[in-house]
Amino acid sequence: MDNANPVVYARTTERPITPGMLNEDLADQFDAREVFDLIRVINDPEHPLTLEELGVVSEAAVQVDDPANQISIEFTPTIPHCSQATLIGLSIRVKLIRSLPSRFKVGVRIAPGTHNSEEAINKQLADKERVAAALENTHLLAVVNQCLGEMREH
Amino acid sequence: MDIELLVADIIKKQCSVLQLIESLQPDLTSTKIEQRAGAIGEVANVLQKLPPAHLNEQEVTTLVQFLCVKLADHFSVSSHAIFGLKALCSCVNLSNAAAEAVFRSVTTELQVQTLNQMERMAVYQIFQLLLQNKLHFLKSINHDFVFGFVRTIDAEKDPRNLLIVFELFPLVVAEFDITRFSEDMFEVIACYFPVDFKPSASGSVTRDQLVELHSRCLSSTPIFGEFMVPLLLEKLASDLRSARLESFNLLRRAAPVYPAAVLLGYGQQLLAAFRRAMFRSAVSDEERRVALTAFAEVVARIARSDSDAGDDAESGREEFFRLLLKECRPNLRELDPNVMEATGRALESAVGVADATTRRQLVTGILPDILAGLADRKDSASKCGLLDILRRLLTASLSSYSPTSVSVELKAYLSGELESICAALYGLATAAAAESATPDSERLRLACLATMGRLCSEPGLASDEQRAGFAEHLLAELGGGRSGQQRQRLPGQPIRPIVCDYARRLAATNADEAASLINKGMLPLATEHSDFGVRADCLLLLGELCDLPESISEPLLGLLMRLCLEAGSTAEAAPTIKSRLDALCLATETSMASTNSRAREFVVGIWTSQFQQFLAAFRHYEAGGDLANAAFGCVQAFARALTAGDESTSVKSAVDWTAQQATEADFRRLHCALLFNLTPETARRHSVALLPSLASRYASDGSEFALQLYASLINKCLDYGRDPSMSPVEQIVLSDVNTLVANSNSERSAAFLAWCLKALLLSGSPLFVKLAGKTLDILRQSGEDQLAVQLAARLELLLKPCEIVLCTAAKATVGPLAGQKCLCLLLQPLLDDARQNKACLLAAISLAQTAPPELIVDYIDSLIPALMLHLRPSNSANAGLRAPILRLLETLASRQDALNAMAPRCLGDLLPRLLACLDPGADLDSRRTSARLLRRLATGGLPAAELLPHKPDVVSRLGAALNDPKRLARSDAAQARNAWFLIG
Repeated sequence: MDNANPVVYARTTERPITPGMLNEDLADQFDAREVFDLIRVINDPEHPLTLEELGVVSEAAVQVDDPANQISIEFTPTIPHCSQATLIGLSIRVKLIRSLPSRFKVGVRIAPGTHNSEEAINKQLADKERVAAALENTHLLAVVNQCLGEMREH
Repeated sequence: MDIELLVADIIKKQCSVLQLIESLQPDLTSTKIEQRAGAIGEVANVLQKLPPAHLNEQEVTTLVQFLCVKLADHFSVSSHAIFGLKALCSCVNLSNAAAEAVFRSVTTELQVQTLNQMERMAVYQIFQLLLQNKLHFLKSINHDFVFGFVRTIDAEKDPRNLLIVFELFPLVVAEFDITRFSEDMFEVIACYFPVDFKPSASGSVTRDQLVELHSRCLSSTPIFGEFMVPLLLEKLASDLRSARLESFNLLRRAAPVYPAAVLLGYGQQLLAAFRRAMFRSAVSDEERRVALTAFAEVVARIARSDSDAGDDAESGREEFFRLLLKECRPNLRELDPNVMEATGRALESAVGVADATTRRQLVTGILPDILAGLADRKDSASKCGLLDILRRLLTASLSSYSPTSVSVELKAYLSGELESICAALYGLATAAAAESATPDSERLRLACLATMGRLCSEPGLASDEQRAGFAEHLLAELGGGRSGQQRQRLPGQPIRPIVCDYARRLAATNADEAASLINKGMLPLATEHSDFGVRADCLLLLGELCDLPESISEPLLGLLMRLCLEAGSTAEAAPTIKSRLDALCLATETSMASTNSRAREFVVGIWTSQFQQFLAAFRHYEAGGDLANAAFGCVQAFARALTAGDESTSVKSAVDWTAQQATEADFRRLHCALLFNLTPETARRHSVALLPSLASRYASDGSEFALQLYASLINKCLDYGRDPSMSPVEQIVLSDVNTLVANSNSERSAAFLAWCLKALLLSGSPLFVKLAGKTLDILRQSGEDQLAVQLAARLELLLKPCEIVLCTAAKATVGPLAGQKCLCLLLQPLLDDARQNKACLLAAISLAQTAPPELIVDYIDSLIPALMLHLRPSNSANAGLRAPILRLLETLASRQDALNAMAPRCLGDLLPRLLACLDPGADLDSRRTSARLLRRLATGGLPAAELLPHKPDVVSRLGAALNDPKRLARSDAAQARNAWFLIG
């Protein structure tokens, strides 16, 4: 285990349901919170904690431009030499592929200066072919599914 | 041979016992013991199973002779003979001669002590039967019988047998002349004293049983006194606490029986034993208590010695009491409160039972010492102890145990001493009152007042001035302390019982003064005192005195009336009204709790006659916070008054008025109050008038509380599990339902029917079946009209836990049996009709949604096809059904057993329907429920093999839902899609 004793952060409270959200006549735009709600519950591959609790993802690090169909996410590994950073990035990517309409172009990157192999990992995560190939690997898919499992969801 | 068959044959007279014996002759005359024993055993077994009246006198006599001879045979033979004889002794036709033969054979042929436990018990049971059936005859052979009895029971050790022996012993003592054998009898029974017995874990005999029966034996005759008292004295000096306790207990029991002369003969030793147990600090409370009760009995016996002794007894008694006084006097200087209390109790017992002369001797002997002690002792606790002794002494010396016992001389003496006693007591009370209130000083002050009350209420003892002074003092105390000495009141208001006691005593001897004390003293305090606590206290006091004779207590009832009327007035400021309401509540509660039936009737009368006015007032008060609570308290008090009242027109008129004119708030209050307090009998009595008027009230203005009160009354009236015929209450309900459904709008009819069904279901009423049928008819026939739709929606009420009080419990929950009944009678027929009839489907959904989940699993087979049939998103005609169907499916799927039962049946049908419901054309609620259901199907532990064929389609269709315009729908769809991705 790379980081045996990580800092644990508090969970964000559930998004309150406003009357507008129940009004059928109003369309709800995708926003950062909605996307953050999708990824904050992803399980860490090593610890029995979510990415939110480990401070790997945050709402501030999510950028959403609904009309332009653009979503950009930066995540912060708990330590600069984290060996699981690629897997975490892959899990975020897979979760968003499964949870967002296909019209969106999603970018997942390591927050600048937070990992020793930042450039290489970002390159891997941005390469659609490599992501698709990774998901063809049954073993790797099982590990990713474990991170996306519902066990520890809120 | 089978004994049962043999006995049956004998009873049917197909053969006789004598024939049986003849047939057994080879065995009976055999030289082998086993054969003889077997044959006699068979005879004994048969005899024990025969009815007591079957054998005639000649047969019984012959058999007795036959078996008596067998008693002399080998012990294995005689053992069976004993049981045979026991059976014969219970025969109706046992002659005196046969009884004598049994008795003589048993006492001469048998060495009872050598028999085993069961055989010995059988012998004692023979004695028991003989005493029960042949007592008169046995008395004619008195000495022989007593001698035989003593010889037989001697040295018995088994506790089971001893229970019988100890029961027989007092009977023999009482019925036979035992003078010649008294010492032997005593020896035989006294050897068990004190009872030393440790019961085994499995044994059925307890030590208490043995002790109780044994002490009954020892106290069964005065003759045992001379033998037992020395033995008791020996055991009273024992180091063993249990022996001392048992000895005191026996002394308590035996003292009234034993001759006074015997007790007086050992008077000095007895007093020494009592001193050790009563007047020493290092004695347990239990021993002191037991010793005191024994002492009371001994002293009472000694005091009653006139009748059975002469002058010697007189002088012996005087000597005894002189010695007692000598024992008590040093205790007045004691510090241990337990010893002081024991001294007080001992003197109380002695003075209470002594004759006039002895009484005077005791009182004049000890009173000066007590008064001197009160003046000398410094601490409050010691003074309290002395006061307690004084109070007990005076109470006992003035008690009317015997009209002649309060002698003129004693009264004259006390009257002369009264001035100094009162001066001492006033001094103490004033000093205690001046101190800061501590438990000790309060106790002292109250003890002074109680003692003075006892003295002043004694006729012919205190002067008018002394009594007036005391009354003034008492009222000042009741009013919170004498002027200038306002005291902090300690909780519990212990002054009240003293005043109450004094007023009662005074009322018995001097009605005028009692009336004056109440009218001029207590009434003004109860109504005009500035402190509410004092007023409340006085009210309670007056309530307690409600049962005094009418001439004295009439003003009390008048006072209650005034308070009630004033409570109804609205012209005063809120705090005043509140205190009046509280006082009214208090007065009602007190009067209702009092044993005085007149006071209770009076309160019921006031409440019912003034009810209208009160309700008007309560509505007015409701605006102001605290007042609402006070008013509610009053209504509850009223409800108790009402329910305590018998059938009366005033109750009926009050109830009718309520049904016609009360507001919703009144209903709410009455609902709670009545339902908590009405008994089923009272409810039934008033239901004939109340139910129809509540129904018509509901029909006219739709008052929800009137309806709930109606349902609650039904529930209260009907007992669960009674016989299935219709009661008058049910007839009324049926008629009300018919009238209301025929004449009211659909909403009211539906609600009324649903509430009635609920109440009847909870009561287990047979009317439920009838009304369930009516409900089904309405739903089937009315199709989709308003009444059917309203009724379908209201049916959920039936199985819901009910917040309203429907049973005595605060929350009525339908039990499994009632739930099953409801589903069986309603849900199943509704499902049968659900394919064609939308109202029936809605009603079925309404029921299934609220039914206990464990019950609904049984209906899944018929429920799911009906739901699938109507879950067609494309069909706009079914749009109104989609949301309730999906909600029910979600409820079912949330339970694992229901999910497992329904999924294999409908997965292929359900998935396309749910996916179709994700379409934005469906309402948000349906889209979300569908997505949640899809997720539940994926995560519900269903076999992956069943789900995998559907996965591509579901994932693809859910992908489209991810672009739903509503965020909540998107979120649910995303969760469902992720869950489906994880399958496999």
